[in-house]
Amino acid sequence: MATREAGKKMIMLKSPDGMEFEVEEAVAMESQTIRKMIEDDCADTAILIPNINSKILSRVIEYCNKHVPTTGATGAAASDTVAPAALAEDLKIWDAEFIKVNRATRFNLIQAASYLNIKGLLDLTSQTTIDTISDNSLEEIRSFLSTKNDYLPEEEQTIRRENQWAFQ
Amino acid sequence: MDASFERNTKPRLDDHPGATAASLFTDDLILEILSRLPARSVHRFKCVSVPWRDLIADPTNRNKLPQILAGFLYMTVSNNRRGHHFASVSSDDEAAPFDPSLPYLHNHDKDEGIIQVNSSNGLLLYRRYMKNNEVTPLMKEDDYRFVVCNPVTWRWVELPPLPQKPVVDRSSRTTGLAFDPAISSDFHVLHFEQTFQEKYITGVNIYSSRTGAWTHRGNEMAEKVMLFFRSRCIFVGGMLYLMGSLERNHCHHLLLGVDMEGKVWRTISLPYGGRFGAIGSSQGCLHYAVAFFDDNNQISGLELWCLQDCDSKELVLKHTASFNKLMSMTGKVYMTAEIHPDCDTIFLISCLGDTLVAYDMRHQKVGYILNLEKSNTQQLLPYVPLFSESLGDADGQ
Repeated sequence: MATREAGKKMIMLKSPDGMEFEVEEAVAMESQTIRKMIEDDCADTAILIPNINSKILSRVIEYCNKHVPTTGATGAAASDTVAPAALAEDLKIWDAEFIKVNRATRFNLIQAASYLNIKGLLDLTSQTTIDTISDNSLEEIRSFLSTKNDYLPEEEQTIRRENQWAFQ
Repeated sequence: MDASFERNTKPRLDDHPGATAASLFTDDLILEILSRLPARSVHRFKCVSVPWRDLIADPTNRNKLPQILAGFLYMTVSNNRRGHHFASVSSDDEAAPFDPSLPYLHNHDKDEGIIQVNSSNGLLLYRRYMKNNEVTPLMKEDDYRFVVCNPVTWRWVELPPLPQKPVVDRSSRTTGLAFDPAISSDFHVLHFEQTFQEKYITGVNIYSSRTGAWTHRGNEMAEKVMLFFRSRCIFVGGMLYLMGSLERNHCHHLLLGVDMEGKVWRTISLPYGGRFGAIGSSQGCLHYAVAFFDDNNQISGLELWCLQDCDSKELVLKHTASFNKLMSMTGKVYMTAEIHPDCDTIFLISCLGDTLVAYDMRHQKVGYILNLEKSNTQQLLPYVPLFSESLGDADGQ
């Protein structure tokens, strides 16, 4: 097991394209999936994160680094000099910047957040998607999510009639 | 390693190198996104594609997705017998999603039945009367406990008795249930005090499912407010709203809003002070529907007003509809009764209480007409099912 500074346990994460990321255990444990693996002692060697490429994984680690609760002298954020409200406000601004990515990246981040079970990241990424789609037309949704309309014309008429109220 | 971990480890990206990100969405992920949308969007998205429809309609996903109005619960009283009924508004399911008499809530040896009080986002509030032959009829009226239940999960909890009040100073009958699973799994019950001597609200007893206890709060408003008899209680935006009027001017109708701590009390004047309208929660805001009557005491027009956010000081007019057509069609006298939780449709009940009409205010169209039981229909409670397991801290019975 890799260790860096005194008392700080490090975890090695590996993406399927062969990149390795060394992160603090506390940061990695922002992911409930990884937390479970660590708690089950499955994390002695590098953890392979399937289906999340290095580009996305590095963004996810960036998010976790920012969001890990700062305890003691982590050096990441001077939490003892900043009021909690200001810290939360700072995080919000950071999140807003973080999520300014193209659609494909955002979808990949949603997938990664879901797979790694990182609630904050999942909330952030899916809420941004919702803000985009909640008032859109069906055609816009279909093209946005690359989904095909596979209703037969008469089927579509029926389902539209049944849900007419939702189109108001 | 749990099952979902196993299932999700399938290397989807590698399987479909050319596919777009969106087509790689698993059902779980789509549900994750849909669960954050308002019910109206979710039901509109049924029309996106067949797999989406099937995903949304699948009963196993009910606890993840926002549900829509299933219908109205109501009671009838005839020959001193209470009947519990359900009027379904669903086009594909006529039956009630549960037995509206809730047989598991009463025990014939110990109590005399239940009376519906309020509903809030899938939870129901009832008064359950004790069987006790030693008390006078007047005392008997106060011999009850509140029961909160989720009728589709069969979980329920009986609240501890209200802090005692002397009989002569009997408190009012206005009690509201406040619950919103999007905010918290805890619920509150607010029981307003209005005494015989002082016919205005003197305070409120608030039950919190988190603490399991009642706390009392005095009314700190400068204005003296009288509640309407059996005012509907509507929980929206963290406040419980009721209807009433000023003690010094009965024609000045208003909304009273109280927060869950009993610390914030506020009043908002209702338009057309002397008329009676209906309040409801719709699309996340408080709505108020009010009718105009012609010389024959028939509704000639309707207005739908909205309180756009918790801090607004007044209601904003959303729709006006003239109304002669419906009345000439059915030949009945109607009153505004309810507001649809997800769209600008209002429900009108005939004065005899035997029919309920849905009216789409946006398109000025009459929707469906429901027939109700013909014996002295009491208040209607809108019911939107909640399939998640939690019921505050209830230990579930």
